[in-house]
Amino acid sequence: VNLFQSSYLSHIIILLGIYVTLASATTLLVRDCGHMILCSAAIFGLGAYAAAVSSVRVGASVDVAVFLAIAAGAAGGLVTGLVSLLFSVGPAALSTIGVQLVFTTSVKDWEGLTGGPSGIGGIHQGALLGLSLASTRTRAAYSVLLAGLTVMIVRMISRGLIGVKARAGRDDPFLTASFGIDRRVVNLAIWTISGALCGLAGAMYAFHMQYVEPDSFGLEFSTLLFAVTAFEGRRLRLGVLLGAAAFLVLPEMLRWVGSRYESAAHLRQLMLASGLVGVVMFRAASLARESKVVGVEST
Amino acid sequence: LSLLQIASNTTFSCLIVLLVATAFAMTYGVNRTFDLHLAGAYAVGSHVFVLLYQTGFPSVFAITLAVLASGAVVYLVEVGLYARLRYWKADVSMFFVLSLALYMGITATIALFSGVEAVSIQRSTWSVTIGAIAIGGYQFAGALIGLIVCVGMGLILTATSFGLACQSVACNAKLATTFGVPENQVRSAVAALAGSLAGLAGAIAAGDTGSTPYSGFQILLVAASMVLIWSSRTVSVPWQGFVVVSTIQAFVVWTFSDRWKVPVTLLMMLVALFFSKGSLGSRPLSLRTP
Repeated sequence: VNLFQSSYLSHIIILLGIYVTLASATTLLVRDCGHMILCSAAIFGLGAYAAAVSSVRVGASVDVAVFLAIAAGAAGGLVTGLVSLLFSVGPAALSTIGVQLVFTTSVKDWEGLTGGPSGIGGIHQGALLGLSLASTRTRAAYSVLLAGLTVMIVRMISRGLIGVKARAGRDDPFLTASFGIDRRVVNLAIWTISGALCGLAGAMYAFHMQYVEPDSFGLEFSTLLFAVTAFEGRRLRLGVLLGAAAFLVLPEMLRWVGSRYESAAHLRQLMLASGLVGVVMFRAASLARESKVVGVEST
Repeated sequence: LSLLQIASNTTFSCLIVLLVATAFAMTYGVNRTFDLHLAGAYAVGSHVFVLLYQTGFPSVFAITLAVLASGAVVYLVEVGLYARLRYWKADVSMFFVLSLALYMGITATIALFSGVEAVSIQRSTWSVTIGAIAIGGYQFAGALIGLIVCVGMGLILTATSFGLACQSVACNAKLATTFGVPENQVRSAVAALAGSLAGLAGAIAAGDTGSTPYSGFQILLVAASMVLIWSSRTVSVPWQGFVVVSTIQAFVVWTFSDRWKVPVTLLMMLVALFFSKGSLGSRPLSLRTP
């Protein structure tokens, strides 16, 4: 009973909403464009820092800070998309790691603006669209709204013309080009939208935690977000939600059963890794089976 | 620190990275996959070494067992998972995600048992002085071992029948099989050797800087840069990449700070990849009339 009366549950709901937003935005790039993206946390962090800097250093209102966070995320997504589009599959994944490392190092080094390794604290929880963010329930409602909106946008893009073009480009770039579709423009548009959503999630995170620091947006977090996207299968459409929930709820459960916080984090990572190995092997086997069936039918 | 001292420090640390780079060059050359779990093998090597050394094993035995353990890990991955993916004709991205998951799994397992704090061993305080340069004794010995092993690996990969088999599988696996080269055995042997090299690097580095579960990732990224910054088409020790990367790192540390050396190395690698053959920045291919 205490659990539901306290703000603990609201905190979990807020984080779940943020993780679902991030995982959905990353899935759009991984599933529809076929990109291996390992810098989602950097774009998320860009949004969080944009909100924190504009709010604390400049004194901007929450509405303006959120708008700036979306713009920063979109710009970060566009730049990363431009960088990754220059390379083929393997180096493109490495280029996103490069973007991640450059972000982390810049944030740690640029102490005047970002506060360096200590980060920025005391982010003021003002009012967003007239509703005060000081209340945990309001933040939880915004977080659920954000996650729902993101899932809807991702679904619309995926089912719409832009999603079809992206998947066509992913499956057969030459045939797609022969139909006059510029795959790069389509992919860049998706990178920008995905970046904007990550930036928005970053602003939500900054105003909820009231504190941002570089280690919250590191390569490990990007890796885990990428791992969560692997739970999205062809038939399992809610895979991202389940993955994000597992990613968040598992350590909380482990904490309840008396496990130390650090051990809980490692156990969570170990279970995610095992799940990821299982998903990869299962998908590879099922794809091989499908292609065999198609081969038999065509002959 | 003087430029000469910085240059010698980066050169000596890059010699240990060269071991991982050779491992990466072997697996990337033969399989065309980005094997991130080599960073896991590095962590296994360093942790096994520290664990055995702390329980009283002599250094030589501890290093040998660490090398065997990390080699066994990568060999089992090759035989148990990679061979199946290859049989199912999975694309490169599947291998990449699998190696990422394996890296996560290995590091999480180590962290679960040993924690994430650096575990260091008591080491001797002797140092080697060459003119104005002073190098820690352990670092010097580690770099010397790295150099000897890399020279040995260079000879194995260029002047033995095993090296020839590796090159032929890397060039055209089907053709190599037709001519009687046992493709699967070559791939397994390459995996075991690559894992052992990564583990050796981890064990040597652990003696100097201590052991943490996640330290292998940045080392692997720099090692991949060594391989890809010059040429990624051959299975050999990336000597040219070693020279380029150690020079870049020395320059970056001298000009900016130690923190920027990995991002700048990655950036240089991406620039090199951009202008490499077949990439967007390269000269367009043209048909020539005979």
